Amino acid sequence: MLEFNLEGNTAAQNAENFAVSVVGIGGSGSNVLDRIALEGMPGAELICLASDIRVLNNSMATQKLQLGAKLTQGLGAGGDPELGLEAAQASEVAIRDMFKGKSMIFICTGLGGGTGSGAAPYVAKLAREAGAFVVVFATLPFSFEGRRRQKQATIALDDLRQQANALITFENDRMGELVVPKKGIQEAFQLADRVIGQSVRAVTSLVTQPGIIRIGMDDLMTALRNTDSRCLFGYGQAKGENRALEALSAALKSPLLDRGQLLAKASNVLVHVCGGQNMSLFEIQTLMGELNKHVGEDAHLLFGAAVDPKLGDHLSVTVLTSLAKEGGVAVQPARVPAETLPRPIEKPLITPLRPPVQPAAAEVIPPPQAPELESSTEAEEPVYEEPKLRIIPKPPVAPVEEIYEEEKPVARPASKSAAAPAPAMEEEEELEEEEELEEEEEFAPPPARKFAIRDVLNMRASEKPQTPASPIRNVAPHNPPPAAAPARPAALTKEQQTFDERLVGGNRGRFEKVDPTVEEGTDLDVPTFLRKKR
Amino acid sequence: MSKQNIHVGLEIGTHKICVVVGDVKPDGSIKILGVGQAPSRGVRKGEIIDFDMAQTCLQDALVRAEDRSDVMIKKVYLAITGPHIESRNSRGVLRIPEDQSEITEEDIDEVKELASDVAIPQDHIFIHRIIRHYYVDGQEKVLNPIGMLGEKLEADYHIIYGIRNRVQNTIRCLREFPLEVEDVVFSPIAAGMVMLSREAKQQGSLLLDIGGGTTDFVLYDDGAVIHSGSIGVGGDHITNDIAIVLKVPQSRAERLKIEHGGCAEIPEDHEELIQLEGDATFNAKAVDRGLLNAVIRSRLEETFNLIKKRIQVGGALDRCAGGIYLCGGTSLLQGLDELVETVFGVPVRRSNFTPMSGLTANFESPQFATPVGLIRYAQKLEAERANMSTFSKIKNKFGNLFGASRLFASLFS
Repeated sequence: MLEFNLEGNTAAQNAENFAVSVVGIGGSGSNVLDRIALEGMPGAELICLASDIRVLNNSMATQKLQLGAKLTQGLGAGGDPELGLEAAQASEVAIRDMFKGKSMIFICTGLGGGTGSGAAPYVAKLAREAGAFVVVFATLPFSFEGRRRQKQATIALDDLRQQANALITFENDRMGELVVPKKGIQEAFQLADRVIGQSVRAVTSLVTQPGIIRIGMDDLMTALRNTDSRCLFGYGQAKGENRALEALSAALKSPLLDRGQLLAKASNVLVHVCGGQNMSLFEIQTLMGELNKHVGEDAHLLFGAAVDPKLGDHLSVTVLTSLAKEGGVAVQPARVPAETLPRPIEKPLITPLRPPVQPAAAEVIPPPQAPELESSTEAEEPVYEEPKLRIIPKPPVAPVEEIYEEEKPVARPASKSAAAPAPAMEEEEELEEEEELEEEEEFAPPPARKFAIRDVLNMRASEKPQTPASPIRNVAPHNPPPAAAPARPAALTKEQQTFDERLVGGNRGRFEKVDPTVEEGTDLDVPTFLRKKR
Repeated sequence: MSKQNIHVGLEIGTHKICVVVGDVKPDGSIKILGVGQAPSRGVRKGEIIDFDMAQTCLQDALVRAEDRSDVMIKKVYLAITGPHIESRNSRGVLRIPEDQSEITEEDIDEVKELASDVAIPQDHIFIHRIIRHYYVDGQEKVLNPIGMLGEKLEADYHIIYGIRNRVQNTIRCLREFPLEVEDVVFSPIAAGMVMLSREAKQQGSLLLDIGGGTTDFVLYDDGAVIHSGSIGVGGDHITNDIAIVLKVPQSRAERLKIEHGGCAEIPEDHEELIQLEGDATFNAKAVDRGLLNAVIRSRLEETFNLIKKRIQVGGALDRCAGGIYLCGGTSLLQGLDELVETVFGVPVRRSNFTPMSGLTANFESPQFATPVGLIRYAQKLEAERANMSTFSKIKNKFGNLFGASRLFASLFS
């Protein structure tokens, strides 16, 4: 039989023939690199280039290279771009070696200082000459750092624009908006580094991951074609019921997007949605519907979607675009002709057919201890009843008899309503109470059960695929089904349960048989008091 | 026209079914003609789970209301709730064609359709589309743009939607009586009609309807709804919690809650025992008041925090100058105000019911806010309809089932 490998273009395979390097240049570049290293970016080589030996020592990069060791003698470039450039030139051979065979190189650097402004354009040039696709993430200095540094940064930025395939800039001034002004400076910088790290990761996964709807380098280039100084980047990740919209709003909240307002002016907007296996088409529709409200009417949307099992329940949205400078900027001619651009990934004609829509039930994640719990209860309690919990239509405390016994339910005391001032209440209360107590004895195994609600949910979910088991149970209820079958053990009496079980287990009392109210994974029907104690 | 002015509001709550018959006088005041009440069975978390049982109880309530008010009830305004009901805000933008400068009623309809073009899950249905504000050419907060000159009309709508089948099940249950449903109203919206004054809505206020099975909320700011929703936790949960933690039967737990329960924090060293007398089936027992309060408090605290989390998006709560209003049976719990203030950080106000005549004295309790609010809702709706052009009237006849499209700006301003 002919087999079609559905998993053909997996991320792993791509990663093999797609070598990525992230290069941090200078102090600030190294910080970004550290952040990326901390949060993990598998498959990428992290290279730190700096002239200051202290920076290199503190760096967490996998490869480190000291620029112009003889020139600066382990000190920094001292804010002099000339010196930075010379240092890089001195280490040209070593840099070329490092870039050999790389198909994509990200360069992170902070402009304005010596090493960053001086070396970065040169390094970008070397990277292009090594045949890689070069994306530069440059940070512009704070305006309070002075006009001199601003000027150096602008010059370096112009140079970088000549060299890089794509240039994404972050203005530190606007990064400041990321955090509340009063927050610690360390936190502010950390956050800024994290945003850059996120964008590096997002852009990488954008072009390397196999997608249901692919986005390639070409799309990336289109989105960034107007490469001016301002790149708009937003990234959001969320999980939970409303994750699509939450992720989008997080992405739009990015200060670089100016709360989404700048999007309206962009002519090419690249959107990439990435989610776990259970990402649904509906979520994408909702998300794109919402996004469409933010972009201009004739904006060109470059849309991509991918499934990344690593994301689990999360869904992430990347929005990337650039604004043309007022008055228009000539499109930057790349020095390497477009044909020679590396195209390591062939667009798959047939996309991996993972089902984008998953039944909601599958989202319930079994708690790790669940199977043990189940089997242990079975071991203790080998007697099985017919699984009447699912068959009996009436709820346990539903007072069916009451209504039939008393012919006039009109006169029912209102004791169950929180504060109904029914006059009949006092007289009949005693009566009702007795009834309820009887009832309790009749039906009731104490409301506590051995199953935590999560287990019950788990069972519900797992029962579906095991339908063959249920007829067997119905035909021969007294034959214990195989141990794996999710039959419920007979309800235990109070004595058989330990105190702890009653306390910790999913005791839902009268809500035992109603749809559980679940909010963010906690079952609200279980007393808060008990949940807190746990 | 005389008969037309009698409206019936029906709320099928988790604890009680309540039918209110009200007469709207020509001067706009409401006279309550009769109220029918019955404890409800077969309802959990605001939704009917046992048709037959709920119908029996409903029958009771209806008969009582009919007796007292001497009105044959045929049509009702129905309040619904349930945790499946969700809301969101949406804006529609419409460009007025160049050859027409004045904004017309049709434009309003169109901009509403545009605003409603939000992705709600397929099995959901719109319950309300409430206008918040219009913007004409960027001019903010226009209340009624009809007749204004402009090129661009924008409208912010608050959209409330729920699962279609659940809404329709309730309606089907009523049809069997037969009882016609005039309109379906989300409970807190109805309660807000009587609980919140115009001023409160303008200042920004939060209404919490803590019922038996659900806690519903609606947040007003600038005179318009900006958030609403429902959480499937209510007084029933408190009773249940007490029953489980203190190990007493449900009926005892309910009584304990009403008679002794409170949500004030009691210091640990303060020992006070509540004696529960025994009877044939229940051995006398003493429970610690501190424990009782802790159980109630932790439940309510959690519920309020969930609500706070939902509405706090965009700092809406900070603009809540009008305070928090409480209604629903559980709001009678001792010390609730204080707890609400601690959680939300906004003072609690007690509402003065809008003046009404008739049997009101008995029904000014916040427990009846929703059914009485339904009458007010009906009144406003009626007034709206009278204002409408013939064209829209015809159009609305063929409009959607729930008639939500009949709402207009003035309704909520």
